[in-house]
Amino acid sequence: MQNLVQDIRYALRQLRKAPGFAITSALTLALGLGATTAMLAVVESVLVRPLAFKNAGQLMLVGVSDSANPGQELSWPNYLSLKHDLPAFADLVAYTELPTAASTPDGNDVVLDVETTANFFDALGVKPALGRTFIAADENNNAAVLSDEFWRKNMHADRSVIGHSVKIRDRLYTVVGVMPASFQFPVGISDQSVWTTIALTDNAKTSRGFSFIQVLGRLKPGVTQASATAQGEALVRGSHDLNADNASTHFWLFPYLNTVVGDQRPALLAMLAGCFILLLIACVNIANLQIARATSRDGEMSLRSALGASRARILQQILVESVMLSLLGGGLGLGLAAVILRFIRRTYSGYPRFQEIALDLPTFTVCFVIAILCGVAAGLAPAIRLMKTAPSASLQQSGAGSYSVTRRSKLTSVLVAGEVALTFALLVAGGLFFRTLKSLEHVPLGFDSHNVSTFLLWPQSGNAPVGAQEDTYDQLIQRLQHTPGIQSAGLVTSLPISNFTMHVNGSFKMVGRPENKQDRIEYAAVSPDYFKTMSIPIIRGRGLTREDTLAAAPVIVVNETFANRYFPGKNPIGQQFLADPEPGLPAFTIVGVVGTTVESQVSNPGGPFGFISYRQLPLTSPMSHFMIGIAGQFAVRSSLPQASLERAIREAVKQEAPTYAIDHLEQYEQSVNDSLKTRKLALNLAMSFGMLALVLAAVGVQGVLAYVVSQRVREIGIRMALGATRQQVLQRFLRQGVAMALYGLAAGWVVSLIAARWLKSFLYGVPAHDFITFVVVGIIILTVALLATLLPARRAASIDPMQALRSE
Amino acid sequence: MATTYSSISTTEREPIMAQTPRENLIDIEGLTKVFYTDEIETHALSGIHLSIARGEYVAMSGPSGCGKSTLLSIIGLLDTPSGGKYQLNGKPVENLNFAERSRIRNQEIGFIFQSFNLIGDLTVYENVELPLTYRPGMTAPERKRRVQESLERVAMAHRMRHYPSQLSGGQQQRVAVARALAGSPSILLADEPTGNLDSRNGEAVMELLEALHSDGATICMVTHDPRFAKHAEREVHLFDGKVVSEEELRKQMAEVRL
Repeated sequence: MQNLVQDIRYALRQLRKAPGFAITSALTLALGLGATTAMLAVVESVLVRPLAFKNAGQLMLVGVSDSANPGQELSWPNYLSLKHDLPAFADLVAYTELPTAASTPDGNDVVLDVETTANFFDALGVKPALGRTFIAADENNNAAVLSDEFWRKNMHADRSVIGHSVKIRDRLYTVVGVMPASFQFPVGISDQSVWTTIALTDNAKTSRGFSFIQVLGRLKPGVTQASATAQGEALVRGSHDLNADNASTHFWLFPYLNTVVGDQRPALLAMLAGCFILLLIACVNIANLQIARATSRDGEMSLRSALGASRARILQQILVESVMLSLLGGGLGLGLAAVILRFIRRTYSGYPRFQEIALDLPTFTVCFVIAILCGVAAGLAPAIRLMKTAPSASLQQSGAGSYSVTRRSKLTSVLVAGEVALTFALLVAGGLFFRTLKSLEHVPLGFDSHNVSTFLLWPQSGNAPVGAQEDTYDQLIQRLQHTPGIQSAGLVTSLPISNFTMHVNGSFKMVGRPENKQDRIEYAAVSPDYFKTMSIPIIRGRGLTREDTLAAAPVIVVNETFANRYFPGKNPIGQQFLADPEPGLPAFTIVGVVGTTVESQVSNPGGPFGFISYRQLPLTSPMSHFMIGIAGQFAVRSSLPQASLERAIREAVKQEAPTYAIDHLEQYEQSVNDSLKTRKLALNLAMSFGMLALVLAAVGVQGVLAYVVSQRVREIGIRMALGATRQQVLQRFLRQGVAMALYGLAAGWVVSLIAARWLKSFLYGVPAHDFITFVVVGIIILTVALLATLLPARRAASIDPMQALRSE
Repeated sequence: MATTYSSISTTEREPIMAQTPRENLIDIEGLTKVFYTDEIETHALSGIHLSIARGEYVAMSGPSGCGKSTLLSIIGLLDTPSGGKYQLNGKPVENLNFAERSRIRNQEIGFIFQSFNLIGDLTVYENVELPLTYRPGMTAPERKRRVQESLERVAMAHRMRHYPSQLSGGQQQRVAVARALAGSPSILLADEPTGNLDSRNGEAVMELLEALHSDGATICMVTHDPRFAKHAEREVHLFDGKVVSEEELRKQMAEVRL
C-alpha cells in the first residue's frame, strides 16, 4: 500500500514534469471516454432503464395474430378469453389510444384519449397526484383521469377539478384524478392525455372479428416470457374462439419497453459501437504516446532495476502512471459527456425517453471502470517493454556498432495501422449514411411540398354522421379556397410522409378478368382539388370533380404504379373493378391516372393506389367511417406568409368547423424534411465519430513518425553522410507514413466489408459495399496521413548529419 | 604518452610523394572553423593549410579536442568551414549547398566511422548497398556487382545475409570499409577506425586499409593511437586547431602537462 501511494505521488510528479504529454493524453482519452460515456448513458436511459412503472420489466404487450389480423389489436371477446384463461399474468389491461378533440373552458384542444379498463392504473402500479385512479365501478360510468399537462393547460392547475366534468368525444366524463407529470402512457406519444374508462358498442362487445384494442399484461412474479408464451400458445391451440383460422394463428408477447424504444435500438447500439471504436482509437494513441515516452525512460528503468526494483514493481509503477492519466482523462470525459448529453436532450427531445437521459451512478461506475481499463491497456505495452530493460543497459556505453529501432517502431506502426483501419470503418459508415441521405433527398416524391401546409381536424364526436362531417369538410375547403392568397385546398385520408394515415387496402377484381387474390390496392379518399394542391400530375384521363358524388357513377383515379402493374402497355381508362375492402361497394370505373407519390416515408416507393372522391363513399359503410369519420387531413397551397396562412386556416376552421380541434398545423416541406431527421442524426453522429477518429489517427500517424524520427536521428545522419539528400530523407519518411496508412486502409477495407452488412438496414439507394464511398474515404485518409507525415518528415530532412553522428 | 608520440614522425619514412610526384586531391588553405555557443566563441580550427595527394595515405593525430574530427568532417563535406579555401579534385567545395555536398559525399568520399555506424535493420549486403541507392542512374545489377566486389575485398562476402548484430566488432568495421569502398570514392576518410576494436581486430583493419592504399586508394585517417598512425605514409599533427610539426606538438604537450 505504501508503495502504491509512493507510485501515485511519483506518477503525479511525472505528469507535472511532462505537461504536454499529460495534456495531450488526457484530452485524447477525454474525447473517447466522453463520447462513450454519453452514449452509454443514452443507451442505459433509453433502452435499459426500466420504465417508471412498478416492476416495469414484467409488463408485456400481448396479442393473438393471424393472417386476417396481423396487427397488434385484439377484439374485446378475445381479450376476455386471454384475461380469464392465462394464469401466467397477474393482470391483463385493455386499452385504445386515439387523438381526439376535448372541449375545455378555453375552447377545443387535441388530446390523446386513452380508453382503458378499470384495472389499468393498478396494473401499472402508479398513484395519482390528485384524487384517485379508476375503480371497478367506473367501468359503467364515464370517468376520466387527466394528465398533468392537460390539467395545467386546460384546467389551469385547478386542484378542485376532481368531480368536475370534461367533454371528450362529445361525451361528458367525470374527472376522478390527475396523474403526476412523470406519468405518461403510452410512453413517448403525448403529455397531453386523458385516460377514460373504455366504452364499448354492442357490436364491439361481441364481435371477435372487430379488433381495436391493445392488451398489456403483467407477468406474475417468477413467470418467464418463454413459459407465458408457451401457455398462451397452448391456449390458442385449444380454443376454437381464439384460433379462427387454425394454422396461422399464434400467440405473441414482448416487453412493453420494446414497443416504446424498439425502433431506436439498432441505431443506438450502432452509435455505441462507434463510440467504443473511437475510444479504442484514443487508447491506441495513448499507448503509442506512452511507448514513445517510455523510450526516453530506458535509462531510468534500468537504473531502478540495477538498484533492485523487481519487474512487478516496475510494472506497477508504469501502470499506476498510466491509470492516473486515464483517470484524469476520465474526469474530463465525464464533463464532456455531461455537455454532450445536454445537447442530445435538447436537440432530440421528440424521441421517446430522450428527456429521461441522465448520467446516473451505474453509467458513472462503468465509465470509471472503462477509464481504469483504458489506463491498464494503454500502459501495458510500454510497461512490459520497460519491465524487460536489462539492469546493465544503463551502465553500458551505447552507440558502438549498429543501431536499430525496428521492433519498437513496428509495434507503434501496427497500432497506428489499426487506428487507421478503425477510422476507415467509421468514415465509411459516415460516407454510406451521407450517400443514403443524398439518395433520399433526390428521391422523386411525386408531389411538390413547397408552399403547402397541412393540418388535421379531430371531431368532437366519433359517432357523428359521416355525411354531416363531409358537409363540414366541404364547406371548410370552399372557404379556404376563397381565402385570398390560398391557391387551392384539398382533403386526403392518406397523405404521403405523414404521421397520420388511415390505411385501407385490399384485393380487387377487374371486371371481365378472373380474380387474383394477390392483386392489392390501397385506397385514399380525397377531395377534387387534392391533386392540384399537391401538384400531383394527371398523366391520363381526368382527376376527380365536384360532380363525383353518390348521385353519379362511381369513379376512381389510379396511380401510375397501378396502371403499369395491372395494365402494362395498355390504357386503363374506362376499365372497371370491384373493390374488396368491404362487401357491397359498387364497381368503380377508372377515369384517370396520376403520378405515383412516395408513401409514409421517402424511402417507401408508392405501391398501387386508388383515389376515390370522399363524397362518393357510401355514408353508412365502415370504410367511409374509418376514412372520414375519425379525422380529416387537409393540404393547403398558398403563397401567404406562414403566420398569415395559419391565422386564415384557424379562422376558417372556427367558422366552418367550430366543434373540431385543429392539430399539427405545419409547413409540409418541413414535415418532409423532418422525416429524414433520424437518418440525419445517424449521419451526423457517424460523421462526428469519423472526423474525431480521423483527427486522432492523424495525431497517431504524426506521433509515431515523430517518435521514429527522434529514434532514427543517428541513422538519418549516417544516411546523409553516405550521400542521401534531404529530399531522399523526406521521401523516405513520407513513404513510411503513407505505408502505415496503406496497411491500415487495407485492414479497414476488410473490416468495413464485414461490418457493412450490419448497416444495410440503415441504407437507401447505396450498396453496403459502395466502391465510391470506400475509395473516397481511402483518399481522404491517405491525404490526411500524408499531411500528418509531412511535419516529422521535414524535421528528419532538416537534421544536421554531423550533429546526428555526434548524438551518441 | 610523450614517449609514444616521440616514436612517430613523418620523417622516419620515405614519403611516396618524394619519389613519385602526384597531383593534389585535396587543397586546403587557411581553413577556420568557429563554433558559437551562447556567448562563447570556440575556434576549433585556426588557419589550417593541408594538401593530400591522390593515392596518399595520411594520418591525422593530435590530442583530444585538437580539431582533427572537425577537420575530417569539413574534408568529408559533413560540415562547412567558417573561413578559408577548400578544393576537392581541383574544384572549390567550401560554399556548396546541401544537395551538392550530398552528391559529392556520395560519389567522391567514403566514410569509415569509429562506431561503424551500420544500420541494424539492414543486412550486411543492404548496408553496403546503401550509398549506391542514393546514386541516381545506377542500375540494380551494377549495384549488386559493386557490393559483391566490395565485400569480397574485405573478405565479408560470406556474411552478406547477416545482420550487423550477428557480427563481431572487427567484422562490422570491415563491412563499414566495404560500404565506404562500394561507391569507388576518390578518398576514404576514416575517423578513429580502430577506436572500438581490440588490438587484434584493430590491426586487421589497419592491414586492410594498408592493402587498399597499396591498390591506389587515397586515405585520410584520424587516430590518436601512434601504433596505427605509423601505418600511414604521412602523419599530420594537430594541436589547438593548427597543423604543427612533431617537435612543436611534443613541446606543446609538455607545456600542457606542466
